[in-house]
Amino acid sequence: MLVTRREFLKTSAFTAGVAITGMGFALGPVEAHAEQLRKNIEGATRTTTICPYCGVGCGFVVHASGGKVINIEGDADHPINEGTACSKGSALYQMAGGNNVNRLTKVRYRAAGATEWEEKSWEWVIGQIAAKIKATRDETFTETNEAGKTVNRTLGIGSLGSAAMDNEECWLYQKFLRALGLVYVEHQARN
Amino acid sequence: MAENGKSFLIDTTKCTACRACQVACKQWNELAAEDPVPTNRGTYENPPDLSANTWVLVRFKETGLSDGTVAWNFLRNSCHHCIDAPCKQMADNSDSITIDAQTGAVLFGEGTKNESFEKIRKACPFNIPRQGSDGQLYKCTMCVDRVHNGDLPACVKVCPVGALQFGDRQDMLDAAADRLDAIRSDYPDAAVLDRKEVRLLLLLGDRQSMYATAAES
Repeated sequence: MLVTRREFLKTSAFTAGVAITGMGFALGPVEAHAEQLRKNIEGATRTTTICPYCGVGCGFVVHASGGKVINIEGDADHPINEGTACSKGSALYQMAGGNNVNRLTKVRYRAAGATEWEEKSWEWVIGQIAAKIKATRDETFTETNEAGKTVNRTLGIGSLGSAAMDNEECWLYQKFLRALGLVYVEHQARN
Repeated sequence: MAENGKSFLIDTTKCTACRACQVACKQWNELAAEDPVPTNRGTYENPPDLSANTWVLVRFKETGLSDGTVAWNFLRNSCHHCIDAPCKQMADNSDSITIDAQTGAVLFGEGTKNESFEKIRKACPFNIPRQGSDGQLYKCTMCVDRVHNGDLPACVKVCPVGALQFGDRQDMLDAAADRLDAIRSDYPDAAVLDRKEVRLLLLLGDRQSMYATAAES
């Protein structure tokens, strides 16, 4: 399909000539349409956070309502980004929002030595991971090092991640790992 | 219309094609991903076209220059919100396509289900309207829901380089003129397109033929 600008202007001129009501004001449907579109962020709680992705540290506002995140957008009051964001930051809602249909709700599990994948629930998997962490920690935990100094650590578990956690989640995660006695705590920060 | 309504000013000389506007539009309007997910076509332009779920698309175009270099230009493509919208004029029912009194935004309502998609699409000089699987026609809404509440459209608010501006129409026209003056020596071909006809003021740094538009696709 090709409509040139010249044709566009011709069309405009023509319709103006036959006096079609150029601007049609039909308030009812417009308002209804706006209402239909609108995310109700006015009554939502506003919580500020920092984007998890790169080192720039842009500020965001998280709108939540009824215990669910309903919108995330740049924090206009934040001195780093003044409300703006990159394309990754713009999509933060996808990561936190409850409406993301692409979110995985089941986990694929292949038992040691097995050839087939099985579908498992997150509940089951988290229980399994917890049991493995407990077993490994019990097995490898050392209270003192060779010099007899108190260390209370495990060298049997390491942690890598997560570049999709925000500031507050990282803080909680770090506390949790240190409490277990991990010393290998790394992060694959990238943009 | 209050103070001649609103307008966008898109300054292509500042755009880096980060596509934050494209994503912010999807985010605010809760538009689904393209299905199937587009594959690599040898360009950063993605998805390949506007759709019922993609109302803003940054289009890329390469132009070989006489000195052997290549110009790579970006253009944020979406509804131009024409002052005398041909889509509205061509619609069979007066309430399927409406003009928002406060902003001048051209809005497609549910009634567009009863319009001829081909007729509306052909009426658009910029080839913008797209039909959803529900039969309704979709495109940029100027985020009237945000604007009515004093917010900027999602795409404008998010733009990290200040290539997108939005405000009262006269302010945008003035800003466009000021910017043209400021860049004239660096961009001798710079121009603002259709400034009398549309609410999406495109300030191009290079010749118009060096930018991709939906009308060409």
